[in-house]
Amino acid sequence: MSVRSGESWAQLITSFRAGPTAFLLARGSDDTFLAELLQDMSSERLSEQTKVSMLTLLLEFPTLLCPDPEVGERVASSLLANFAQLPHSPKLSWLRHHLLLVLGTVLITTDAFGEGSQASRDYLSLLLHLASDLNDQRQGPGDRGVRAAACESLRELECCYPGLFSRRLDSLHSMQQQELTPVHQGYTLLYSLALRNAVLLLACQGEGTLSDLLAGNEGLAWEAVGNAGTVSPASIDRLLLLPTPTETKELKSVLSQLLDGSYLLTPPAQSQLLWHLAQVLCVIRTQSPAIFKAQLVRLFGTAHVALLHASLQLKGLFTDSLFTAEDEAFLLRRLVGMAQHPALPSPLKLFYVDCLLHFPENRPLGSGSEEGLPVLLTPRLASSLFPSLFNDPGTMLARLNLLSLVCLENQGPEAERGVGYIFEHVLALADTVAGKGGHEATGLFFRATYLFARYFGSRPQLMAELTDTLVGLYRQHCSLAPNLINLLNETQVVLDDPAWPTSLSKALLELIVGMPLLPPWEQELGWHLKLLARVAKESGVPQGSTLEFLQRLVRLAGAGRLGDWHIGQALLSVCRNLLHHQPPPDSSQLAELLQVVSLSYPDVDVQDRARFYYTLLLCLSGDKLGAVLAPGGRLKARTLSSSITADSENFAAALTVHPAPQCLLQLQREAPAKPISVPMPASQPCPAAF
Amino acid sequence: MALRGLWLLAYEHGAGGAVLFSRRYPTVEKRAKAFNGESYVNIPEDSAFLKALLFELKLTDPDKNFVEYRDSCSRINKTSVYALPTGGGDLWPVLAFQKSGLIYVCLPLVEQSLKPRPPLISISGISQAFALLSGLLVFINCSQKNKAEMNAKKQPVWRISAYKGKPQVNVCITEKVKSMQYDKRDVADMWQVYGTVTCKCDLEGAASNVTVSLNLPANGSPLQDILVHPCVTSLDSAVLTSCSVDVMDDSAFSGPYKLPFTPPPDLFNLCYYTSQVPVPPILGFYQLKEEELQLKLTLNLKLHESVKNAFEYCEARIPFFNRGPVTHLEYKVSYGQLDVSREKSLLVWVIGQKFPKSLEISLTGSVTFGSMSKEQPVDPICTGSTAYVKLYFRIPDYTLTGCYADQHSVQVFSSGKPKISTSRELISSDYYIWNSKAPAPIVYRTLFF
Repeated sequence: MSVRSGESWAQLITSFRAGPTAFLLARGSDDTFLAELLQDMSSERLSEQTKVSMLTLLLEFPTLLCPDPEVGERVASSLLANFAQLPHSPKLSWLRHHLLLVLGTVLITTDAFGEGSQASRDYLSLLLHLASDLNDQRQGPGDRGVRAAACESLRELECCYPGLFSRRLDSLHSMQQQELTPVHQGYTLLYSLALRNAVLLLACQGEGTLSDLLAGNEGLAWEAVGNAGTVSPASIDRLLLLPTPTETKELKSVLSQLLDGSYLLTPPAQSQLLWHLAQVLCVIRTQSPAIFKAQLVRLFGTAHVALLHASLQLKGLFTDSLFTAEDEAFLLRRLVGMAQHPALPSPLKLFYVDCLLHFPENRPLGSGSEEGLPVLLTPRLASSLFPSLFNDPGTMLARLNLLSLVCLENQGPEAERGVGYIFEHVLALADTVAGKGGHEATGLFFRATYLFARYFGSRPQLMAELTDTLVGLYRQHCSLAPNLINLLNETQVVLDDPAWPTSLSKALLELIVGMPLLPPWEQELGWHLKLLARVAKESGVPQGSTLEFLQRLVRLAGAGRLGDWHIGQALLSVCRNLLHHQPPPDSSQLAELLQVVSLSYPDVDVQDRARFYYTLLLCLSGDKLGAVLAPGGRLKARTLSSSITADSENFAAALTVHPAPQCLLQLQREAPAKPISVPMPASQPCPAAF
Repeated sequence: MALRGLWLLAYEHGAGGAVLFSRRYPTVEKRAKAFNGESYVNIPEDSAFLKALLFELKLTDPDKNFVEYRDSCSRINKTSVYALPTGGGDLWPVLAFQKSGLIYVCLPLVEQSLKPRPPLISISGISQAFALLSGLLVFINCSQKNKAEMNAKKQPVWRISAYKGKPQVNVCITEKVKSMQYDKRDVADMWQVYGTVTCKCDLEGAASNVTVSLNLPANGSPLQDILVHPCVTSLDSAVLTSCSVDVMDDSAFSGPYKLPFTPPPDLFNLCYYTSQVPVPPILGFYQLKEEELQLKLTLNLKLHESVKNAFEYCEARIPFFNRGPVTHLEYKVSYGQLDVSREKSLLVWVIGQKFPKSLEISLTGSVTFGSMSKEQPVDPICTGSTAYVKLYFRIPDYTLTGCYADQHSVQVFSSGKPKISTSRELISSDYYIWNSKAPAPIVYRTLFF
């Protein structure tokens, strides 16, 4: 095989990335892609940049390229040989860095890693050798990046196989202490992770002592390869270790040293270190978490999300053994302040609002996984989080939700005033919908309405006002019908007492049946009928006026002023829901209506369907009719075509004409032009979907 | 930090989306499988991932009026964390930030089962993911040099480049003032000040330490909600005690606010704060009345006597929404000059560098509009007579809180005597004065009177 050019590789890499599975499938099973890639890695004609790009394929899709451990082992051996050939030049540092990461990735993900694998043993000794070059003494600062990658690779191995370095803690600790260049972060994280894993495993398995563990300077614990996924923060509460006072002291000195140097790390690394150490302390009950105290003021004052989160996690783990009641109140106030700090970006503020709803209290009342208000979050404290029209939608809804909870769970004039403000805010959103705020404003208003109804649905006066607002909006913008239907459906699900959705349905019904049928009403009529069909499902809403409205329509149709197929179908959807409405509407009136449609509606398909309904109404008892028409009715399979039994909201299922899954007819131009396919005519965009 | 994936996507309204960059971490994926157990959901290939994300962010089918899955009122995203529907289940927690045509996305590892979904606060990788994306967003074009010098002491990891040259330290305090003024009896006006202290320290030696003290004069307003950069090595707890959510109390700590730190090599934000000042710097009064075919407007502005009357610029912008272009304008200003913007939908009252001696200025006028066209701006809030005036100004060498840092308040512990420069400024930000003759959106609510 000859070596491909750089451009050729670039193209291959791009098409591989665009669809890795398809790329490999297209090349067949006896593909030489991987072999070619490995071979060209040692070519001198390709630039380092190209080689790094080639390596990223193995780095990101190792299991696609190496389907089994044997291939993984082979690839790793080849890359190790490759690494060995590369000179220690700063220019090649980036490539060597990548090779180390790829080696680990391939060995781990193909399950090739283990004591029996020569490549794994070679890889580990290479990493440990590289990591032992403390403070760049052997290779100079030019190789520091490679050393950092070695530390990172060692850490990844310890992550994937917890306990792998549990017998070498002392040597890891000594490296961590000696390293002074910025790579010290890598050594610190490696050590803290190995320490955490070792302590957790000790608590799990109970073999050995803490003292031996900390002083461990032996080989690798290869049996850890079977530990994947065993060390999880979720299981930590159940673990317990009670070391001797001497051991506790030893551990304390290790932890203090790590904590004292923690400020030298980047914030995410600090947060990781704190989390590892906190987990260690959580298991070792003989050491007080007060050791973290010195870090807290720094953490409380931070602008960095990872550090603030670390302090919240410490609080969740140690509660009042680390945080006094005063600390708790202070942290909560800080959190409220940060949830609306004008200097912070809005995704972060939203995260803090979410943290408020899961605030780790010293004495939690709730379960912790559900949203809940901390007891200390009073209306006074929360009032700075009132939503405004200038908030982005996410912020507005998050604040609305929080404030609603605050007002709901507190009593007194402040909470009442709060409810009033929240309501005013919802009404102000309605104004933006009326002010043609577009899609976004509409979505926002309906979501806010949903939240309001969910929390305050039992307040008749406010809800009546909200109903008026919604009816007013519908009068102006009939295209809001789907939003209203959705609101009715969703509030009915979420409210214990569905009185409000019912009264909203009634109000909408009254509005629609009272509307004059004046041109150009064709567009709006589709929306009206859609909404009427939904309202006809409400058992508590009398439907006499709906029938009268439909009769008016049918008269217009008879007069030739209305005969559209879509309108006809929409009209029949309402009838369909009326057929099994409880209490049943005047059936003679309904029968008369269906008969008129079946005789005089200008569309044959509509006539047919109406005739069918008419027959059903005349021939079936109420019970049977209900069973037949109920969504997924019992008699469906046996007696009726699926078109009527299906849910009337579902356009496709309710059609008497169904689109064929495949083209029935395809016109093809004879050569040389491209074939033109003529798909089945799609349904026209029409507001009336049935 | 453990990430399962990282993506940078481009999205343009109407043109759809594209994957600019993507990166997966198969070893982390392997851990995710072990930790998540049965609740594990595979990451789809990039094209499917992009599609699912755009759908979840409600960026698909912009022409469709209502799509149940996308627009249902019960689908409420209260954070930037999303669940992407994929063939194998919902991929969660996908963190996504949208900013200027780009979507920054990552998927952190969750070291527990995803069913039931754990609260975000319990996922240790989530804040690191937030930090990563925020950092990416800020520094997307920034590359850092990776040179460091050896030192006998451990170096902070964030101080990786060595400066060679004349040592200097620059400290700048920028205060922004927001305001909403209504001139109504039942609605409280709102104003808020927030400050950012930025620093640039060009110092030789990786171990140099700097202490900046922020000072307040005797009548200054205490700094609240102070958030400091992680390079600040220690903090007196008194610095943090004042929170904007508390009731103001006279015994509040009023500085000096000492911030000792080991500086990063680049420009950075040393701290942020907010403050409550007793009065807004400019008090406004705006009345707009619709009379027959024209609008009559009156605008009065008064600079508070305590505020430094030396602006770099000061102007009042009077936009008109949901109307046609301005066809006729008659006006009288007591000071400055009035221009009509090119688009004919905005009046700009240029006040200039100084208010007159009386500190009060006024504008009266009447405006007539042509018929509405597509080019004219629309706004869902400013309908009817609801309207605002927005003020833009900058006052150099001045802060509303009085906060300052000078030569004596910057201490540098390093070799050589650095040149220290300090500056401060006040800038308006969202400074609105609403028409008092019409309803206006209220942004600040207090539950106590």
